[in-house]
Amino acid sequence: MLRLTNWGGAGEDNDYDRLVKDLYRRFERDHPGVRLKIENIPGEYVPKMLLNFVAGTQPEVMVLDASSAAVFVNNGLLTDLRPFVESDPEFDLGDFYPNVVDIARRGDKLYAIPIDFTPMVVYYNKDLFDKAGVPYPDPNWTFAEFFEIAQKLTIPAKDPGLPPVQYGFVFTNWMPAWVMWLWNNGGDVLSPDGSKATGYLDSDPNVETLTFLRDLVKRHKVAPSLSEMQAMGADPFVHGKAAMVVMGHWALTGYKNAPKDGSGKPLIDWERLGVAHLPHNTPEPHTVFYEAGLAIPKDCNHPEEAWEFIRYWTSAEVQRVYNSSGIAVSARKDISRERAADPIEAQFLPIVPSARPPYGSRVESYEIVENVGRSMIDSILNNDVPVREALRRAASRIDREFAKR
Amino acid sequence: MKAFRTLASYLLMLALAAFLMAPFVWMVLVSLHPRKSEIPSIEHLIPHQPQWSNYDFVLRHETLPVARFFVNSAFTAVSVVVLQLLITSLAAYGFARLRFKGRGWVFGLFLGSMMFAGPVTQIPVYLLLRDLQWLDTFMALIVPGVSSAFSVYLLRQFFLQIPLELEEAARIDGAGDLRIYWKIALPLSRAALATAGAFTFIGVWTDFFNPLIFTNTTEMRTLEVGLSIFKNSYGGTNWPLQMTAAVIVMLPLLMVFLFTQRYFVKGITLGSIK
Repeated sequence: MLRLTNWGGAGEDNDYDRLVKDLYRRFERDHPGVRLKIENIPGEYVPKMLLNFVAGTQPEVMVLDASSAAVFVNNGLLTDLRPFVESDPEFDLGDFYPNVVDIARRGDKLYAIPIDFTPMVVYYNKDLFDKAGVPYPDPNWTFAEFFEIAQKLTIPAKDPGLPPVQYGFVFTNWMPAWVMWLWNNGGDVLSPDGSKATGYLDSDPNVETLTFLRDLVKRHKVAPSLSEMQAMGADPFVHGKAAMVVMGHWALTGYKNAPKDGSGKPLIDWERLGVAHLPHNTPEPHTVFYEAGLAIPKDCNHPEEAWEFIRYWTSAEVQRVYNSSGIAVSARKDISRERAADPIEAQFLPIVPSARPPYGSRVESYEIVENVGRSMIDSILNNDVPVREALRRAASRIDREFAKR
Repeated sequence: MKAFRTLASYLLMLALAAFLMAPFVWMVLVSLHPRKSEIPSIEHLIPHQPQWSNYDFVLRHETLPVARFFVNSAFTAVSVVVLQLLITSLAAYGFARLRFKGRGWVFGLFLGSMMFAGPVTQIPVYLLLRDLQWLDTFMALIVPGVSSAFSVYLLRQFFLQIPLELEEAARIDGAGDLRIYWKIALPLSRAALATAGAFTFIGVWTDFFNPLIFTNTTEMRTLEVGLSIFKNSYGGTNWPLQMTAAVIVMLPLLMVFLFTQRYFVKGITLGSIK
């Protein structure tokens, strides 16, 4: 029996579940005697997996999420896959995007084979751009140009007391959705070795970046405030009430099934969806990508069969089917190129090389940073804490928490 | 004058009740909106066409056996409540009535176990369940929950209030300890039992982390865990379905509360009146 742990989340799209189940069954059919046992863990994935390791009940294959991979990789809980890769003539690492493979590489060791990934991008609603007569984003747009566009796409309400009827941008207070802004202005979150935040998170470029983001929301009101977002409850972008948003590839599944207006017409037109690089003041754009890979826990019962499953799951034929769900970009170059026949998918490929791994793949307990980051933005947007002060406080709080690890 | 005051107090209570009920009413009304709609503003809160099919959709979800989650939760919660009441009331009776050396100490230690944070015992309990090969079975969901220092404490306080004369009379009639416990102490303690049972039910029903780590397969998930899959899938974008799921989770709690409310209030004020 081969146990596979994955995070939970039956998609809204039941076709996806059926498709995945079919693929599992096909593996069982091709490997008589091997039965797959899929364990979906909804929430608290990391604690539950660590507990499995403590108790020695680890599965044969685990899905490793790049944003929380560090704790498993750094503590030697995973099997080095290099020997499997090297002794398998049919498996070629060159089929995969090198920067995606590197997420789980440490020196000459490799701890996971990537399945798929999703770079964070700017989605924009071409209909709203056209209506306002604004040209689509240039791949090399700067913060200033971004602001100009966002302003042109904001339509204030007739009554000045009311919030705008259309926003230029949606700012999401969720660190994975805004950390790239720091990089694109020459700033960073932690020191290169990932050990401290003071001197990095509270640097001048970051003060500038967050002042920019704050002003988008508070001064120029081209993006809804956090409380307006809460009151709306749903993403204004998907309802056609905002022109731009920063999200991952997964958001597409929602846009594809966008809610409809009274006459049954979707609120955003799938055909009229644009995908762009994040704006950047640096010579090159940066973004982050969130990846999922397959890893074999140390001391599991059937490493050989586990490898058999991994090569099956990352093979071109399975990836072709699996990737048709459209939740992410395939880590295989051939499949993602095939998928680029779709005009929206095609827009993702030029963004891939600029993507860097999330901190969580290298730094343990990175969720501390993300939690502090969230309350930092809260304090800036809701409680008027000056940006520099908020960054300084956040940095020292992260360092204090890191010292306790 | 008296009628006026009664009227005023009724009106006040009605207003207060409406105020407290508002979030629940909101939840139910939002759950009846069409799927994927935005959070309705107050004036649009009442749906044009109530979408009862949302309930059907959640309960008969194609890939999530929500009905099975419901049965798992119900069976677990009822079993824990029944077993726990039986076991803790026996312990409580012992602490209240039997005299033995070091009783105070043992009881103190017992209460001390309430001071531990849950996570401290999680790993040992997990290892124990693994060794017993109970992981992913109802045993794992039920057995760790049957002991509760809080219930023992609550029941002991109640048993202490039962007049000793009753017990002595029974003893003269030839009843033993167990018989007195079963025939006298228990029937007199319905309020306390209902309170302890309701607390336990709510605790088990709403527990997330323990069922998550003690079970692995979808078939063994409880409602709380199973529906968090739902939250992951629909979170933040599909409020009507989220609220539908929330109503389904909450309804049994509401029913337990309504049926035990009488005892509940009595139980909480227990010991406050001499």
